[in-house]
Amino acid sequence: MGINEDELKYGQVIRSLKQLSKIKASENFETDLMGRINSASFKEEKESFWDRIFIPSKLIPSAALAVAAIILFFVINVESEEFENPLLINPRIREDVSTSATQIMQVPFADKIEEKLIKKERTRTEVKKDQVKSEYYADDIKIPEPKGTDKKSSLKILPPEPLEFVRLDSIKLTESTNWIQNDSFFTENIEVSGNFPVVRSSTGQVYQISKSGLNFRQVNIVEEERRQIIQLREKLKSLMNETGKAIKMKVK
Amino acid sequence: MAENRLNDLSDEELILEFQQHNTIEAYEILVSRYKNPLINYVFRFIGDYEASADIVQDTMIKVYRNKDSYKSIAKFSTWIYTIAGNLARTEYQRRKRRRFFSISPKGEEQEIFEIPDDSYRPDIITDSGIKDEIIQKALLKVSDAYRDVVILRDIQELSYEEIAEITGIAVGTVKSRINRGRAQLQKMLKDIYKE
Repeated sequence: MGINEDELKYGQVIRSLKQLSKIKASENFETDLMGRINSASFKEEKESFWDRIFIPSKLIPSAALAVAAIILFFVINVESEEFENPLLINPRIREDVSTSATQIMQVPFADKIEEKLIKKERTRTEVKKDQVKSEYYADDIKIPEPKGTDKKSSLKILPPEPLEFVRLDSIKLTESTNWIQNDSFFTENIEVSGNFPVVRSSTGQVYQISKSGLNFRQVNIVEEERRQIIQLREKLKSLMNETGKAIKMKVK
Repeated sequence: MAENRLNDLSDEELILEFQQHNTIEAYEILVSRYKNPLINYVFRFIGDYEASADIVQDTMIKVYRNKDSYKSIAKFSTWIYTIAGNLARTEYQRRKRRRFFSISPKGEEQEIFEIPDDSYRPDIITDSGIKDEIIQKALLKVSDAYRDVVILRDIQELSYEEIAEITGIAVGTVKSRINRGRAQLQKMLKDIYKE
């Protein structure tokens, strides 16, 4: 038999370890052991599935995670009534540009349907009230003459960005302005100042309309005007359908 | 007579007897055979007698409950040392986390040995109790991975193959760790080995 070189090298250590006194069990070791085994609660000592789960070393991180989840649930509760859907929030009304119904008001031109109906135009033409122009600013759109043309509504349709003109049927341009105004909704004393139009209200206040100052989401109209707008939109939709059919007939 | 017959059986035969016939005497014989070696092994590993006794009791209870999980393809000593070693390592890690180590008395019937300070001299260390304490202290300072295999080899006198089975590492790794553990011990005990 070969003698292990390592065991020669560490001979003293090995001898020291072998000479260590042997530790023995206590005299009542077996008695205690059999007592535990034979005890009535021995079966209950068997670690159950739940006991293995609910021990501090495993329970604490799980509990911490559960508490964090509960806190997050209450903090970010999307079902809460207090939670505001940013897509459904009504735009903030700016006090500096909002006016009463009897004054000049500005209506943001943000409706997508109306945008489709409007063609960008820089020069104005005069449209006769009794004629429905065949010039359409969007594909096959005919705008009828709105009713109640004597109404001096302060409602004014603003052009979309960049500052452009809105042309609707039965509307006319005044000589002194680049604005196209609807007879139903017309403004007074509109003039262009520099590159930006200026609006003078009936009370004499002058508002310079600039691109940066426009907020197309701000609406401050009365109920009657709101209904009128809704009616106009409905008419636009129906006319779009009719015009589409008419053009198809023409093509044929 | 029956008990005398059982005493002549090997460990594997006893556990088989316990498995097949639930012979409690066979189990008790196994307990009496392994309680001291296991306590010696566990105590040398963690250094606390009371905790060692608890660990060995837990080991025996595990053997009692899980007797059917023992397969006769392995030696019974390997199986029971594996259980005791796992429990000892678990306890050691738990104490390490809590930074709790205490030199407790070996037992109620034995003396409490105090470790001498730097004033001890190698030429007068003849008291085996003091020397044991010094070696045990040095052993506890060895890395636990090395300490385990050194104890199994040099104190429990198991073979490299058995140690490899118990610890679950390769034989070559066992030898390597044993040598490293011995090297660390030798370095710490060099003062008492002066010639």
